[in-house]
Amino acid sequence: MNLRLVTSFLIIVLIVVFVLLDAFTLYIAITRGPVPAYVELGAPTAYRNLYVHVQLGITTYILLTIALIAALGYIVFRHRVLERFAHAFIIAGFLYGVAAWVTGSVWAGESWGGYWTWDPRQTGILFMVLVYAVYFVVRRSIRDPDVAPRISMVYAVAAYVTIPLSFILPYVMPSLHPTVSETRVFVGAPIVIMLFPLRMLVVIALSILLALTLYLRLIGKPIPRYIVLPPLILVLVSLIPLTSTAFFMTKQTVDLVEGASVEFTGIVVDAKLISETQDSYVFSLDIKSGDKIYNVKYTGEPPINPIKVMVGDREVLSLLSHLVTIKGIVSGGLIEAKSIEVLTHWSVPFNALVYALTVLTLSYIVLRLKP
Amino acid sequence: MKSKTLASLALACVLGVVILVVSYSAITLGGFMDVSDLINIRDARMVTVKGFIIGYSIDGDNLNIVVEGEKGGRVLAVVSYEKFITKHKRVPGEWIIGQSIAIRGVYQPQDGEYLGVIRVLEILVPCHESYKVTPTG
Repeated sequence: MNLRLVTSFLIIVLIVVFVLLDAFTLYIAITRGPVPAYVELGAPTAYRNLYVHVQLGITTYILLTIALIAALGYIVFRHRVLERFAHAFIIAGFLYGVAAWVTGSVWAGESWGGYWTWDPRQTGILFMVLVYAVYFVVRRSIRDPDVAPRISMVYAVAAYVTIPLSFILPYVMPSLHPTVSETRVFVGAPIVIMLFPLRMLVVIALSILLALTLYLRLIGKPIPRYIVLPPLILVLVSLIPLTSTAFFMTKQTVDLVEGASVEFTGIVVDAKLISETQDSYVFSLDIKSGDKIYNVKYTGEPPINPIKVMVGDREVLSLLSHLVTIKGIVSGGLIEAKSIEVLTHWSVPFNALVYALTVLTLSYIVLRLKP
Repeated sequence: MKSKTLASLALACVLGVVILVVSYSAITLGGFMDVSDLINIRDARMVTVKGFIIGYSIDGDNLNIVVEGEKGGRVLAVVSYEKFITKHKRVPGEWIIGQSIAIRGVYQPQDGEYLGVIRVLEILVPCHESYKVTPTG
């Protein structure tokens, strides 16, 4: 059997397997991924970005570390394949780095309170992306085919300093980014530990596979045109939760006409548990929608569990700060809710789409790049 | 090892140091610092500082927040009450005590109980504490 055909077949099979795994775990993460029951700012569901953004960041570090090793190998041994290998991983690492920066900034807008905050790691990642962008300029600007690989690999080795720099900054400077030890408690919790490491493994494996495919393309191996099709599954999956996501729904005005049915979306700005029995709970909620705050009474199963959570020495209701859709009837000046649906913050499917488009772009580059 | 290889590695090291120095300088120029570090600032300027809320009071349309740094330096942050509610989606109360906060605004040094006063333009909140809370899902 033709070896080229076998290689191509294997690559496509592996990519399809990992894309399917990626799509499955991504869907679980963005629709029902565990989040902290209480957060200091913004919607708690925005923390589902933990299953998208963190993976992109770690994957960027890994891809560019592999590129560094190959670049050093080229400088020492002068094997052209090592230069191609490093180049393929830098392309992939650069794309993932841009996505990590974009997804982090979008998440920061909700959970930190600002898209751009001059946070040391956020700024460090931006510098990393800019420094690696110059790599492509350096590589293309040298015409001499003997000099270009050497200079570009020297630059690639030098550019790597931005990786440890961006990683250690939250440890040596005040930062909004948490450290690894701070996130360990959450990530190590039983309901999180099933999903978080699995997402990490799948995203890293798929990125390395795509970078290897890019390398094979650079050394002249044929890659089937339909390599762009599997990542389209990721794009479609990232679009699925849009129907249950709070995009533009928090600026609604509700007419409080006695007896009228209402349906609106807002933020829980205050929550009290009035009473609880074995099978029924009564909540009094203040929901902010647009400029108004509506008082909502809800009796039934709690929309989120656990109902209460300890924050330091205080007990708070986990419904607080969530984006919710209320369906109910106006009765006695307040809204008697029949149902409460907790919505995912818009930044989560947005960032999932950014991730999916990154994978798709990398696959497209595999096809377009000339050996 | 060939001299060409050594030259390449040396060039990479020099270039790496240059990139490191430029990047680090640019990142620190962003001005993100601990509240206690404000002691080194002698003139009014824009700052972004991080610390913990140890007290608050309402003064007309403003909320005065006392923020303490890691080395014990304190600053009075003056923020619009309305802006605080819009950002936090909650009315200020005892729950804010002990919360970590980062604020961007115009710093005016002064003598006395506080290192100075910050007229807050932007409130930022680190997510460190959120990861200590029980997960739900």
